[in-house]
Amino acid sequence: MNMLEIKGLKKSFGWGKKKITAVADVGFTVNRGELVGFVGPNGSGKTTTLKMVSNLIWPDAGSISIGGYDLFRQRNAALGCLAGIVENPGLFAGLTGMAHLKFIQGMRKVSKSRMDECIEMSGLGRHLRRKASEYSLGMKQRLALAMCLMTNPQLLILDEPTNGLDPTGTIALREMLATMKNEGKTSLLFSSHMLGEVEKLADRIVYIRQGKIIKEQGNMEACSTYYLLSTDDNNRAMEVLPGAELFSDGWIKITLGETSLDAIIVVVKSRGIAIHDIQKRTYDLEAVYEELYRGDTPSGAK
Amino acid sequence: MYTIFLLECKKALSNRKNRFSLILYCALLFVFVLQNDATFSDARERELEQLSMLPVRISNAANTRWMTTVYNAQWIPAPGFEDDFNLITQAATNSYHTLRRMEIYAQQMTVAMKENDRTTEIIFLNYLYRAHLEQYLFAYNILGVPQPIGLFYLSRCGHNIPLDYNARIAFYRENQEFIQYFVDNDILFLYENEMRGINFIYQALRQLLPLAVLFIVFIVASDTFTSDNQWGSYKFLLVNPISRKKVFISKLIAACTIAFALVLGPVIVLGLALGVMNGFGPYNYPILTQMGTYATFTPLQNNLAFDQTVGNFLWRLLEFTQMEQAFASTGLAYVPEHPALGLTPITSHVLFENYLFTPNPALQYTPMLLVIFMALPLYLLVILVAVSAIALLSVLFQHSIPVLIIGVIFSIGAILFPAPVSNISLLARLNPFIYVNPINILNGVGSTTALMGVVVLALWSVVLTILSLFLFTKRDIRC
Repeated sequence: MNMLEIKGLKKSFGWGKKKITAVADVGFTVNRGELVGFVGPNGSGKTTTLKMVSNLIWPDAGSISIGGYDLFRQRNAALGCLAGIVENPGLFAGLTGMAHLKFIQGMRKVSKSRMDECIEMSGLGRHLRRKASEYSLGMKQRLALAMCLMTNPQLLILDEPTNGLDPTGTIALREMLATMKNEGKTSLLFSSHMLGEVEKLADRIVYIRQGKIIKEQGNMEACSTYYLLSTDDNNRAMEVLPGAELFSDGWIKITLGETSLDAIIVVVKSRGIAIHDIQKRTYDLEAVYEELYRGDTPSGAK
Repeated sequence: MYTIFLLECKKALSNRKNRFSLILYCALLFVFVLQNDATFSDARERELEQLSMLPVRISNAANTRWMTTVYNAQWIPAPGFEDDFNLITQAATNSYHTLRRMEIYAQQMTVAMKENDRTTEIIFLNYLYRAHLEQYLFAYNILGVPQPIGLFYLSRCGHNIPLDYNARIAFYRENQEFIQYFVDNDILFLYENEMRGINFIYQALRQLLPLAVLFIVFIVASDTFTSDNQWGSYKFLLVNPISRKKVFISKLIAACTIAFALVLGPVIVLGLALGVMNGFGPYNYPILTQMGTYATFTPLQNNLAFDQTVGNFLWRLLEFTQMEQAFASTGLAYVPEHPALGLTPITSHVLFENYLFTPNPALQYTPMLLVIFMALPLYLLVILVAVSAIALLSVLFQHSIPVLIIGVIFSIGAILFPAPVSNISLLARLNPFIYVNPINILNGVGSTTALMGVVVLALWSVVLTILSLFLFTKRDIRC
């Protein structure tokens, strides 16, 4: 059973000429124990999607189910499986950090030992006696994370979780997420502009642009090796090489799979096609990202 | 829901705006106490001054030459005026004796006031009222009002013709009855601005609370419903397995509870402190309340504060001493220079007891403490209406500034356009602003009743709450 299942999600804001479609058609899943990266440029609809999953805003169309519960018909059951931080962590300004944790403890019936564990993990210590309005962004993030983890959620949603964290905090967060991933008890859906973090952690990556999902791929796929060939007749070379695709002017791309490079060279040469150059490349997420969003303006629009 | 209720209470108590409002409100209460205390001292001094002069004035009235002349029957009426002369003689005789008694009452009352013996003061005030009423009753019974001579007699006492003397007699009789109630039940008569414990609470509820309710409630409620939008904390609040409906209701109850506590708490604490310092005053101090659904006449204002009753009373008395001029215009001659006479017993006060007076069935005396308790549920409803109105605005705008601006405009409107005192239509009675001062409604000010207030306020709070709840559950949360 999928932990999160989104189908046909749509959301627009405004009316008439000022109507903006933030999410045009979004659908993807997050399996149990899976860590899914949600990637896209600014304004692509990531946060809007996450807000709909958190039931902060209502979609115009589509369905969302969490832990097998329909979010709109079985709201309490669905949200009982969920914890998350969307955009910046919104805390109650006049309350202390400890008051926040106690609120979650009372709200979700969390044991004291679990709360203490999360306090330890947050590293906030004596700062918990201070009001949340006095916290730095990083401290707010830590507190918010502690509040989320206290509930032992089945699905954790994090919207740019490393935002505001110092390198120590980022490493600690990464380690925590890695531990959660290894334990396999909590599914994660997180969005981030730190592609390096996504690359290290995600099992699968969902790409969104202009409110639509444009690609989903396993992370291992993203980090695979491929070759670029430059020949005197690329079109004919693509005909004889299965799986080859035009990469750019003058180059074709081949992913080896079970075939060796030597075998490919032999096939091409046997057709009388001369090979000018061969380059070995490794996929990284940044390269994929660049490829997918080439030409987009910073707001995400083409 | 309880967790969210506690959270909202903690947030409200730690909020700087709320704390500042509370400090401001407490300062206002202190100023109110100090001002009233000063006014009370001044009022007592002024009344003592007036009372000190009263015996002399009464004595002067009794010693006017024409009155003494008439008393001694030295007057020689012109032919054809004999009957009128007899009536005038009787009127003057009666007045003279009544004035003499009143002179003694005024003297005794002055002594009691100087010694701060409030119990004796009220007894002699009662006698003064009775004597004053006797003048009217005499005119009514003996002079045969509206016979010309009776009308003439009373017109010289400063009454309008045609006379509303039935209503006036009833008015003064109720004044006297009210004073009699204090004497019969041995209740200490209080001044409106006398800062004893229970009286302070009553006056604060009547004069300050409507304003305080509107301002404090708007600040507290707008913070409860919009702070989560501003700080983004709805992201934590709503991502929990609890329905939006329950979240909203918890906030509504929390806002009402905090507003009620902030508005009433300081009043009660200060009332207790004043009670310890100055005494609590009689818990059963009678408040005139209208319990019926209509009024037969305009109810008494301010529940007969001592200074006002004496003021009215003195004015009438002073006018009454214009008998000389009245008499001169009758065309009767008199012989001057006769000695003043001493006090002689008179039984004209028997008339007072014989006068058939039908008390107004709508009038009831309710103990002050009970009136306070009766007003509290109405205040709670006023707060509930204000909170639900703010909740609706908050859900619509999702920002505190427009909510506060509109709230302030409403508050100013409520102050500038208070409850009407004359008869109003049924539709106009549905305006919730006219019930902002429950104490006045219970006192009968404004032609509506407490029961109507409960119904109207409850209706408004239900309608506003349902609207707000609907919007809150259906709208996107902006944070």
